[in-house]
Amino acid sequence: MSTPSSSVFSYRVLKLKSSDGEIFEVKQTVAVQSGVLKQMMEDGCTEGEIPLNNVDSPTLAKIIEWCNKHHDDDVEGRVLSQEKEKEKEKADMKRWESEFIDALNRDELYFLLIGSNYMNIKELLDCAAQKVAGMVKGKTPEAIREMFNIQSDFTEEEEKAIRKENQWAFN
Amino acid sequence: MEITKAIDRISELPESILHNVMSFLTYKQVVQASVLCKTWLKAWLTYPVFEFEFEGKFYWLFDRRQNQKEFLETTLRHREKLKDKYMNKFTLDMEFYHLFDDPEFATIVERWIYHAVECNVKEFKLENEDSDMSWYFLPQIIYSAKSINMLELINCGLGIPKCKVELDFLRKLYLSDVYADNEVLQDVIAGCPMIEDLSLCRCRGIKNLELFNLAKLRVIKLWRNSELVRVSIEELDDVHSIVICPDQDNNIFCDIVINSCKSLKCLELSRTFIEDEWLRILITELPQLEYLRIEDCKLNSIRISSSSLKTLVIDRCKKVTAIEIETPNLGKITFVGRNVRNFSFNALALSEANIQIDNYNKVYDDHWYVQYIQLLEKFGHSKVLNIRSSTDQDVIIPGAVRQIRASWLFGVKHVNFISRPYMGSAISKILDGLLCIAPHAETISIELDNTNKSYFKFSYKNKIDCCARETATCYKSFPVSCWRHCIKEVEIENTKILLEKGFSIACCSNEGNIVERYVLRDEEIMEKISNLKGLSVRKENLLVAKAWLTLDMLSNIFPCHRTSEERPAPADSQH
Repeated sequence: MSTPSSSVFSYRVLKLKSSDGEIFEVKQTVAVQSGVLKQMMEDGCTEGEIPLNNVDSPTLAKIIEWCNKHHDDDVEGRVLSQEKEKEKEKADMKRWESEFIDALNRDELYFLLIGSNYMNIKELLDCAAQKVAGMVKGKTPEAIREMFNIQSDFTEEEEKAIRKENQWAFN
Repeated sequence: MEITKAIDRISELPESILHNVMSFLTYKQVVQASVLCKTWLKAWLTYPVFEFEFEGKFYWLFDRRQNQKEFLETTLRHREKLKDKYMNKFTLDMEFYHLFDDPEFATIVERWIYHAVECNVKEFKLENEDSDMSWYFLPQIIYSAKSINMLELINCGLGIPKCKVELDFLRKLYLSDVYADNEVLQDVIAGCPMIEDLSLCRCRGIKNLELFNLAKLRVIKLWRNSELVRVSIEELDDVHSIVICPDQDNNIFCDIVINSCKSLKCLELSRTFIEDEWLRILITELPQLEYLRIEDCKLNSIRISSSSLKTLVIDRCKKVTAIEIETPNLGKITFVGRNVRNFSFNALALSEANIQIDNYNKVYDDHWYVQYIQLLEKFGHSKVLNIRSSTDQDVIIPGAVRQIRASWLFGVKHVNFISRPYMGSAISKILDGLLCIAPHAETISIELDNTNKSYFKFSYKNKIDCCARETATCYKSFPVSCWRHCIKEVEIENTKILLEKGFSIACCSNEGNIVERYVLRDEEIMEKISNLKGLSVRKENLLVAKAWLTLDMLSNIFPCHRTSEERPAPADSQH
């Protein structure tokens, strides 16, 4: 943060209001992981409740859990002397991340994607997107459709044409 | 995962999130996903990445070729219709010989390149999979692709620019197997004012490369450019790393000028014809140099004096007869080559030495071993000594040599020995040899091929104790007691492969100087060791058996042959 807020307001708390009206309190140092909130802090418009119309309370709780976890490990400035220790921390974090993501059901994952995209939290968005990609990977279009309940809106001829044009990728 | 309601959430995601998901998939899978539904088809067409990669199989088949052509054409047609045109990454990796006998195909590829540039592509990669066809020359538009920040070309040609080269935002330029006239390349580089990273590998047509006036240039790699005869790198304040390896096979002398590159930290010179004095002066002019590698250079002597240098590699400079190193802050040295008698080495901060001495004549006489020990002693204050060897004979120091020339490597705490290939000497002999070289080593590891590794951890008696009980007559000329008389305990860890082959531990009893040998083989080792009192055997997995034993215990429990013979008897374990 370039504004004096980093020293003066670092212990301040932001009040985030989810789409269903619940208020969540988040330390500024944690909230800074969200590109949107960071911008608001820099612009000095974080007084009062900040409405997040696209994020419901269960999703916001998840997002805050993520940010708290990542905040603890990065921002507090703990000095890790050993390279090995650093690597271990990294591996632990990776494990935590995958457990966090794997525990979500498909709807939760969907809302988390929308929420982290809306709040601009790149790491979380990437992690969730990677999860979806992992589910898609190695599956035939038919299997993907079944998994995500995707209804094809192509006519038979249209689909045939696409497959023919892109024959290269279906070989 | 729970059974979800029949709602297609994923296709409701905003396009930018779908693009994010796609970025974790292969491009082929992204294309396949286009048949899922119209949302996915559109998301694919607007996806700012195009990566067409050559398929290794059956590429010559006409059908395959038609498929490729059709795919390239229809995809391009769809993309050209889009309103918002932008592209982060364009990769075209295919057999360009299709283009030479099929003008239609050539036009499609050219249109793609125009399209990419028009979309303000940031990363542009073109790879030609042919090896012996005529060069594919890129269209001129590439020279005015201001948006590109990474340009990677493999196996194609750069023609004479008909207009000014304006690669204003290019940061990385990687050319491999590229044909470009000398002037063309100079023009291209001059047209990249922001360039940070330049790599030229096996390029043709480049004879004289002059790099100057490029304020941002940090990394320069010139590797086996067969026609390159002169490189001049001058007054580049930000240059951080230079790697030069001309093509020595052509026996072309490459003249290298490096001037006023004050920030240079890493310098690698391989297979270059440089002169002794040139190198010596260059090093003194590089106040920040931390890493220096000299490989296979035709130098007669190497004189390096640097207070900033931390890592030094001298690798097979076969003609070198004298080495003089004055590097107070050097932490790590690697030396590979024949023994250099005239070797002065001053590096008090040394903590790791990697040494491989080649014996080209294959003559292992006392003289060779004496000189071998003398060279190793230069690195005697290093905590870690890694010895690599092309034959395990290197370290099996004969008794006669031990009598005339004891080793002084008392500072060495950890010795790692790697022999490839393994010539079949008994581990006991190698271990004995290594303990002779580094008499008070705390750990020794011996790796005889990729899977054969043993690890020994020693603890020693204190000196007074050792001297009081000293009744030994062996190696009287030793300045301190030999390892045979002062080792208290040894911990051994072995991989399974080693156990299968059987291994022997040769050691001296406390009281005498006669070599006693304990040969333990196969399953017996586990069995016998398990029977020992005060011994712990870890069996976490079957691959590693770890034993902790004292020599006294061994001699008490296993009655064994006392033999002065050097080779382990094959059936020792049977008695």
